[in-house]
Amino acid sequence: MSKHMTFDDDDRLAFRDSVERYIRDHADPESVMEWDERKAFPETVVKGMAEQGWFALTLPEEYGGIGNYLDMTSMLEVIASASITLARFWNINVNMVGGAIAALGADHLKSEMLPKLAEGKVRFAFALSENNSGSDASALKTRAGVGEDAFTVNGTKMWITGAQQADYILTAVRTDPNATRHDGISLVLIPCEAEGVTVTPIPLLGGHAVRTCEVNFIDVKVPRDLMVGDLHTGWKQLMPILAKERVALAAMCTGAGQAATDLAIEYCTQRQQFGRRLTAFQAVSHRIVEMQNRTDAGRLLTYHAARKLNAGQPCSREASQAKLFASDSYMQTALDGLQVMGANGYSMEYAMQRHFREAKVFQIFGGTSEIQKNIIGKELGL
Amino acid sequence: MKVLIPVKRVIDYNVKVRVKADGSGVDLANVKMSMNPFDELAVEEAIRLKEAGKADEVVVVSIGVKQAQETLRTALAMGADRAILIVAADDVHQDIEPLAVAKLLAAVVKDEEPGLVLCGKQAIDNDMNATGQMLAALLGWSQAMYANKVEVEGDHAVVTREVDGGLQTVKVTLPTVISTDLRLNEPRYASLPNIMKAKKKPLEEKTAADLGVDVAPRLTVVKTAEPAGRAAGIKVGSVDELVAKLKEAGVV
Repeated sequence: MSKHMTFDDDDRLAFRDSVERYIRDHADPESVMEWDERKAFPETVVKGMAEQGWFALTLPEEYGGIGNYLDMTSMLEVIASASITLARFWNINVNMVGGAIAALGADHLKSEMLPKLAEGKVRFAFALSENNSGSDASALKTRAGVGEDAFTVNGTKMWITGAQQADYILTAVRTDPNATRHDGISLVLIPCEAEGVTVTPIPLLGGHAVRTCEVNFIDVKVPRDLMVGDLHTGWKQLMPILAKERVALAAMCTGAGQAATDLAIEYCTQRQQFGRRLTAFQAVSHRIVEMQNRTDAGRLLTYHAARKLNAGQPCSREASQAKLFASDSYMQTALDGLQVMGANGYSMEYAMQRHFREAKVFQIFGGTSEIQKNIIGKELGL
Repeated sequence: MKVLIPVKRVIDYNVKVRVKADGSGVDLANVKMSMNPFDELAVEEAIRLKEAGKADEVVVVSIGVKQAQETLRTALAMGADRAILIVAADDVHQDIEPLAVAKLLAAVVKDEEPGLVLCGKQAIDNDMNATGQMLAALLGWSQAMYANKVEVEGDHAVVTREVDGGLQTVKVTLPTVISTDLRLNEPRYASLPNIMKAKKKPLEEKTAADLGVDVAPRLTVVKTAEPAGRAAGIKVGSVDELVAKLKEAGVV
């Protein structure tokens, strides 16, 4: 029984327990700190995750998928509590690109890619944003000339996490040059090995263990059978995938926020000042209580959204509410956690500084907090 | 050959234990419980024997409160074939003593007739290290405790044991009782597909009374206390100062 609330039935508790054990053994705090400091991708641990069958979790059953979105939420909470890198890598590969191939891909693409993904033998990244097309994603300019057998891709994509590890990047490209905004966009899997693809890591404040990159395409030839979904209608097809991403990001914020809260509890119950434990001061203990409360509230919204995903119901609003609240909570928790730990919170010796750096990006990627409010507002008829 | 593995539900090794206010034991209410790690090694070893074609059925048995079925499900999810739960207590704080456990296991062995009982060398809750030895004695079987390596060949097993000062290799005739030591193997993690499959595996439930064993405690816990906290250390500036301090403390 976890000391924190869960929404797990017995099977999910058993799975969560197994994930906890693997993560405890393979993503211990020292290792995670080292990956971050050395900007080292945890290759062996990712391979191990695939061996555990986690890379099949939410794939269709015929490809070994046996889990649902509540299992995903539970798993990501646990993984992110130790390593956001591992959780993000899983999300991009399985939830987003794997999910897109499973939902939209032609049969030949599914049978070629999904078994390999399940075994961790093919790796993906996802490319939507561009330099002048961030929150305004549909303004994307990367062009794909449509030939008989192949696309010819030209343009530059930004903020591609895991591009250095990827075999293919699922890329949103404009296939109809005359269409504007949401029309004329298609999704193609671009092989990273192809001629004309250049991957350059971008120095960032956090997320060092799996680098986020700029990817440049110059006359890259992509076979037509690597298109995922239908020609010119990629934008519409992308929306459910992005909603699933928001649920996953909310789950990560919940798990990581819980870890930050747990760290603050551990530190403040041990540290003595003025002859008393820090938690004997209400200014400290009340702050920690608020951290836990926010984390639990985010968790409730996240599981609510995951339940709707499971039921196959539209959940754009719920996914955005969860992502907005859980990411803001995580950021606030990291700020509070750092404050109650004082100089040690600011020190590179403790994990709190990493939460402080990692939390911020959750308010930015996967749709900024402001964009989430736009989505929710639209759903509310505002 | 059938392999029987007793597994115990114990407080998770990662949990910081708290002594109950009345000193009667450790607080187990609302605490994460897991399979005794030494038993996990035994489950792993048995599954490996099965995978190597040396065993054909792996049966796990747990004795204690009803919640021990979670522990059995974990063993089934790791790969055991079926499970037996012997309910012997209602209160999670009631520990069944090694002799009672050994008697219950002996009764199960009579029913199941395994060729090998593989058990953890001890449970991490009370560190008795007695059940395996008592079981072998009650059955009149050979025993090889603290196994570091197990090889089953025909009608015997060759077991490398961890003993004080090194390793000892013994050859025992089957049926036998072997207990596991820490370095025997690295237990696998239960995967989600196997957790789902485990739900469908048979789990038979019995009571201690069904097996005619009296589990009433014969030992009395006089007192349980937390270890004394460590005093803060000091920093010394030189070797001379270190030696002086050690002399002062009367340790050199």
